[in-house]
Amino acid sequence: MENDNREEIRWTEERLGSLDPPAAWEPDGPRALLRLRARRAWRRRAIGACCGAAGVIAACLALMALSAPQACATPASCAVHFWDEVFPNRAPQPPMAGQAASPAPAAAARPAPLRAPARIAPASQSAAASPAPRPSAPNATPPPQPTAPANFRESGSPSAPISVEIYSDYQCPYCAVFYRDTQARLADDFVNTGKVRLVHRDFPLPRHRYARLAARFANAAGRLGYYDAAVRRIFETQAAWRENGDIAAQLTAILPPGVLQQVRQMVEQDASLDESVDADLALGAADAIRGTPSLLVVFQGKRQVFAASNYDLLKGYLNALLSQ
Amino acid sequence: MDAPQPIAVIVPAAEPLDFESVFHAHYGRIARLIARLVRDTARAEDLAAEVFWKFWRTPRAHGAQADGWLYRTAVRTSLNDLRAATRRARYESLTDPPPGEPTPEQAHAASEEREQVRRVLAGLDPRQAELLLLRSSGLSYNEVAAALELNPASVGTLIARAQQAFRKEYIRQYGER
Repeated sequence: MENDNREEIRWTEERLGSLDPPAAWEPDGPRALLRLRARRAWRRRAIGACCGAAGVIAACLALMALSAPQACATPASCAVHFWDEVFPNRAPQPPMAGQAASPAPAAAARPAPLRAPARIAPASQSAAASPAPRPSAPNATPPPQPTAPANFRESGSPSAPISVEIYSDYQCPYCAVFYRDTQARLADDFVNTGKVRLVHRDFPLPRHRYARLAARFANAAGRLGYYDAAVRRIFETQAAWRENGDIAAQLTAILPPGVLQQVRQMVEQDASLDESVDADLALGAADAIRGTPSLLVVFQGKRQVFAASNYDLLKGYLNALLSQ
Repeated sequence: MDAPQPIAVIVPAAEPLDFESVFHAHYGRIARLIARLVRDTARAEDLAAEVFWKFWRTPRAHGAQADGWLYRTAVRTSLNDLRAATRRARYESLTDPPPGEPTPEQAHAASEEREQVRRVLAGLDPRQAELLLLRSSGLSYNEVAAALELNPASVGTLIARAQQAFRKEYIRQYGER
């Protein structure tokens, strides 16, 4: 048995011994090492090139994202620029609940009020009365319709201690929600009780193709006494017209045919409708408005941007101001 | 065959890898180990370099067990190459025109013992082939156990079984010689 095992080992080793490489052959270690070094160097270069390419691609994507108009992406508002959505802290911050006793810390550092808070002006003059930088403000232009109701973009008592200006974009979905939910409660609790005067300001964002057109329709209807109905209808049917801009088709449900015809003519021909919107935009720029909807609370001559759409927070803030 | 050299533990676990020291210490033996199964010595050197490339790119192999990792990878790489060559030859024989009389070179190659041993090894259980190759390359039982991650006490038994299996398969294919 022992001999059998030895014989088997010897036999196997003899066979496996035939595998020995030629005795004259010597592995060329230095050459292999050089090849490995070259391969490592190439790999490092390849990794560096890949990282560089990835960096360039990332930079290009970031550049495209920053320069291209973006869809509405912020949770509660449409920002003017993409970077306002990425860096929301750039925008003025709303006062927090604990700051309600001192309502306008930021406003204290700002310039003097842009206009008297409690003064009511006719609608066409309301925007123009503000010191907007545009020289073409329609201050000297009389309202085109003598029968137009004054102040159709304002509601509430002219002597209310607080003015709330709402910068709004008719194509902004958050503005539609704000109008439906928050603005109605604000009117019930503060405007109709004489505590707050509400002012609508048009702030059509460049990314919203039909926002300015909608503002023209609303203001034209307002000059004919149908402002509230037109605004409500425009916001309610936003999903229908935002694709094709056919706002007139939506207004047929609420405007008499003759009035609608007049509104159409004004929208097509009356340049002062644009001037009103431009005046609001200039005022919004002066107020550092960066998104819609944005609220601006005017109290004792101080203007404070209130960027939150939370009604409870707004209500607490207004009550704190009223208790002073 | 060169005199067996002990496999030194070049890289302590706590020290950074000195790749070139490991390379110089093991490249020659690794290349010869691979050349036992690969017909072409240039191909053997390519495969040996590939083993060290894998080693450089495998940080977990850079510890105290670096030598075992290298020999294990080398023997598996060479066996894989041998099996691939065997499969390739079989497929090529299926697509080639029907052979006539073998040429003298073909007859010589077919009868050459080295090729027969390689074919038998390629058909063996991989673990048994690894054991035979490492042992016949001059590694001690402990070194074989370290390379294949086996219990050193059982290596002798396993090698004996591998030798039996090798002899049985060889005789089955080529007869007693």
